[in-house]
Amino acid sequence: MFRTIKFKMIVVIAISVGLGALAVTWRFQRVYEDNVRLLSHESIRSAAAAFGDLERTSTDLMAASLTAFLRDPAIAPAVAAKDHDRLVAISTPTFKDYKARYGLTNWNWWEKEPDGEAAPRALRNIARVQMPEKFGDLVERTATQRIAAEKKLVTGLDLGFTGLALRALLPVEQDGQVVGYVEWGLEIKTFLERMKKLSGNEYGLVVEKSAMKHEQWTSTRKHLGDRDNWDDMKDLLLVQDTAKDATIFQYEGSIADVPEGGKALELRTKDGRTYSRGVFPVSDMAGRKVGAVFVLHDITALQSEMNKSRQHAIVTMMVLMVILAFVLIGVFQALVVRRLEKMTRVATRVVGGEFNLEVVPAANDEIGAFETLFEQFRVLFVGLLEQTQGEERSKDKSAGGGR
Amino acid sequence: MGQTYEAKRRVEQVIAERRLNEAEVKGKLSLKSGMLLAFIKPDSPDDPVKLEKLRAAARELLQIEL
Repeated sequence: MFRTIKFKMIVVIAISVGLGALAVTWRFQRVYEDNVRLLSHESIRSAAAAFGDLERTSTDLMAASLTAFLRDPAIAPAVAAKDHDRLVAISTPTFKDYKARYGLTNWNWWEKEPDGEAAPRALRNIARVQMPEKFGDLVERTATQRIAAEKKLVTGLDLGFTGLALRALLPVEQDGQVVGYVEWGLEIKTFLERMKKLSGNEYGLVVEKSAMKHEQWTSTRKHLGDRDNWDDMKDLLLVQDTAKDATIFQYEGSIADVPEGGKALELRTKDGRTYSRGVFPVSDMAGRKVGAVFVLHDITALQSEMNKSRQHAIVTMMVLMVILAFVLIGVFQALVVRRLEKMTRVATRVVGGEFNLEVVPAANDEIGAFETLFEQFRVLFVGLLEQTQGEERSKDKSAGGGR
Repeated sequence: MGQTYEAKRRVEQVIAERRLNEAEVKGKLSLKSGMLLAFIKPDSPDDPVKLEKLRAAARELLQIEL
């Protein structure tokens, strides 16, 4: 049985089925990886777009609100007079309201730079509404440098001790002259929550530890009742996130290496869920990469669907190949094996004495050619036997006649 | 009457008893032993080598001792 062509064909077909299953598995894995890559890129792209959109919307809102607020005729004289108490008194009710409603965290009033100094490195603070007791100091920041130089709306992200904040600064004018500046700062924590609501993805914002102060960070976390996560990563610090488990944002790379368009990272599995990870950079108002937003897209459903499809494809392919195997074996049996067996039987019976048993070619194919040749050979063989028999009979007769 | 002819007679007897296809059985035995059973006659000379081959073939195919 093991030597038959039929068995060899079955072995070849079985190997083909196995290889086919492997090929299908490999192909599905590639398709799955391609889809995951596409999804990751799309998640990163849409998250970056959503982040930029929220940033724009928020800055527009802050600018519009600030502009409206600055119409109060009591403000410009108070700024010009560097009246700390008056500015705190005017701003505090609105600050409390906006803090509760929009997450406004900073409200600073700045002195105008000294005359003749077109691009000062620092501005002196008149009042911090969120911290009235601290004022009068010189502060050197990109935001203050830009507003002093540009004298028009300046917006952008700024890295502070509690993470990234969105800043909007406007000049305060009296009789067409700039007399000082006002600044609002908004926590972007709500950005990530709003992005999560829109997409269902999880987000985490990380910054370089080198830009933060450990003690201040620890103190802030303690004040907010959060765990001190300073040592969770080597060089990076997770400052905001939307996930229950922050360990899924672990990353050993560098923010500087994250390309502007973002990049897809590896897959992560946590609590039976599979996430594709991606990251895009966040730049401050000076254009420096100061942070990165990690995007976790839950692909568990996709993975499960792909696995199901892969299994179905493999089973379908194997069933088809088994059917094909039966058909091939049946055709081979009819076209080759049965005809060869018939010729073997005929040859045996001719040798056994049925000299007139003919082989009729069943078809005009390769086996048919062999059947024809075999029949010709049979005729020759039988003729030779008859000739031999005749000669023997003649010899016998001659021997009998001579006696 | 030689041993080979006797052996042929015995084979024909078994074929008849078992109602086997005579040409097919004789053909198989002929191919295995190297002599055409159809042409064995009472006066055919015995070839010990071929006779032994026929016995072996009969043992294998028909499970009989010739």
